[in-house]
Amino acid sequence: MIDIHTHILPYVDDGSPDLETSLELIKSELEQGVTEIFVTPHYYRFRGFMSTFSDNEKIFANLVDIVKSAGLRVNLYLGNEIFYDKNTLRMLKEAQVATMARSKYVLVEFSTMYEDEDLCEAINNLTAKGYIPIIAHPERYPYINKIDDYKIMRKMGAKIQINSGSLTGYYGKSAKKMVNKLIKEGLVDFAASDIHDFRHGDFLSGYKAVEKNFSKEVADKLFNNKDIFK
Amino acid sequence: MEFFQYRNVVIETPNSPEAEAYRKLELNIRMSDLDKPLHIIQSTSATAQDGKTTIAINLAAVYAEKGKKVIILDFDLRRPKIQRAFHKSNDVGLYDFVVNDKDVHDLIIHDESGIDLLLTGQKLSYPHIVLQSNKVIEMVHQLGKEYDYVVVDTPPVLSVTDALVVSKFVDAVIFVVAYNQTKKENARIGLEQLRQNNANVIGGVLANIDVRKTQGTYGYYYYSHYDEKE
Repeated sequence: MIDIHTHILPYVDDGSPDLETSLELIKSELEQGVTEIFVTPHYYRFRGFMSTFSDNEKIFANLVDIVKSAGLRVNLYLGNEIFYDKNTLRMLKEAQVATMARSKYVLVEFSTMYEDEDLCEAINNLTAKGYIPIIAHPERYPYINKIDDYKIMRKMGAKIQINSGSLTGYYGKSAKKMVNKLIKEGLVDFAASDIHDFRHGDFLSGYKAVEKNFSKEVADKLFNNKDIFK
Repeated sequence: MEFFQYRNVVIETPNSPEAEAYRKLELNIRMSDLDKPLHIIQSTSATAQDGKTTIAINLAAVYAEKGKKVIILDFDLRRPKIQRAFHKSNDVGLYDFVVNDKDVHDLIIHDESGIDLLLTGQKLSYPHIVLQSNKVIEMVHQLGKEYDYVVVDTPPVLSVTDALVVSKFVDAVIFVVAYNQTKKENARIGLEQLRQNNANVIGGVLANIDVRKTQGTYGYYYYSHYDEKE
């Protein structure tokens, strides 16, 4: 399976604090059947997570070496989870933040409290520059609460990524209800763990929940969506 | 969340009756003052979503189709939409001219349609103050000399003062009213406010008429002069 949203890269955000933890998290992913992992550290100016792409690349190269030495059979890819703001387009252009493994896909997040950036404008700006925005866990944004909002985002060219924790109830009942509604409507493109050292282990549980509530085909489509490599 | 889809029928379906209505609009504007040709034309309305942006982009397309040099200025600084209509990223624009003293020519986008665009860029505080500054007025007049036509999209009259401010330095104002949508009283008050500010309202456009239902009696848009008694 493919996990497109993780905070496994050490040192740079509120995810893994060190290499040992990164290895543990990767092992946890492997146990859950994940073989392709995108490491997507935050770039979030206001929270102080500002490690640039070039710095992340160095840490990433080291992590890949260590994973190989440890004999873990997993493929790692570097990306970012970018908190969208007025600087995002410039930073993408200057390669200070990364697309997903140098593709056109960009994982972007927004405030989980209030709408301080116009999400539609962000999608318009990114798609106009040729990027494909993947909206990280919109079910966690209180201001995105209508099915029509999701239809609009997708119509404008964005992809939707939900967290596996939303399927298991980690984020509460309303998030769980919303993601199930979204899956039913065919409005979800990717499910991912958003794994941090304080939050992991629900990728497989999320998969099983979708398999149970919908079907294996639907679960595979969300948890093993190879479109990310196109 | 709102989804905006702007149709530029002059470009997309040039042989349609809708496109033809815009050509009539252009002709009517030209005929409204043969002795003093109107070059800088403002599109506004009484209330939001009455169709002023659609009129602006289609009118500009008629000018471009005629081989005229035309630019659209997005002076709806509060809810800019020209970037959506042309699918451009709104990362540079008037903001950079006002705040960063950039040369306006470096901020102009040359769309493949032949229409040039000046977008808003980042959000400006106090739009009405910016719009009545000499810096902006002189820039518009300079563009008026460089372009055959300058089409200015502004906010609705009843929402904010911006449209009234801009009406003072354009050659003419087109007042857009949406059939079956704009409240009669709002249209009347909006028009009255423009007149009180000595705006040169050369006519109105009745938008949203279904040409198939009216069997071509009015065309898609009906254009007429407002006489003093109206």
